[in-house]
Amino acid sequence: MLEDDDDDDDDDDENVNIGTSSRFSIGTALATASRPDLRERWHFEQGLNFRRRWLLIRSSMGLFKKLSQMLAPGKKEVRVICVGLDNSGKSTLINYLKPKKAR
Amino acid sequence: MPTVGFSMEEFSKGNLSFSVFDMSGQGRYRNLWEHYYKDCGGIIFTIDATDQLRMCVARDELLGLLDHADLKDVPIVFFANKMDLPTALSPVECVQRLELDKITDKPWHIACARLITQPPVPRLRQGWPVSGADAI
Repeated sequence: MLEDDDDDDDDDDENVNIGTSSRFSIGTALATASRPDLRERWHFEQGLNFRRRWLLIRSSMGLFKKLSQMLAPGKKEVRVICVGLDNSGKSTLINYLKPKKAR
Repeated sequence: MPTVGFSMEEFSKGNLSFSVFDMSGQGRYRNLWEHYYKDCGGIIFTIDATDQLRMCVARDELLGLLDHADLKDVPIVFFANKMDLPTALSPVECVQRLELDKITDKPWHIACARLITQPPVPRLRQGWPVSGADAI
């Protein structure tokens, strides 16, 4: 019964939440976005691996850690620039990413 | 409150220390962006997913950023923000509108975010009587 529920949850793989307290859900940046005909097949082939990977990331890694690894593997200091149109949430995002005590 | 010019935030997480330049997004300050591209390790690009009208403006700004010589091979993380609002485009639609699938020379990733409105919802629920049908 429990296992069945898990499978149902994983079906909406575009909005998997990382952790229950996180305010983010990660969109799968679909490489097949421009090829709707390929999307279903891609999902079918990638689905299982994809879900396993997400479950791994979900359990072992926070979003920020993932970001850090993506930005600078093995680097100690990194300069990041946050851009975007006005009122799109740049400052809010930075404020969210800051450690709680620095807010 | 809109950012004027830019603001810089420094903090560390784990063994990484971040210097984040939070650039102003207002039209008159957008020409400042390129002066900070040098020695930059990563770009965060936030998208207002509800702002369909200005999606093409965002695309133009993005194109200028992608072509910049200082940003060769610099990874970009896109945040499609305001996903909680009903008019928000899905991340896949954002990818299509901004033609992100054409970026082949830089690593990139898109994530959804709903930064403002989620926390108040539980608080509202506590304060207001909500019928069974409305309580999701």
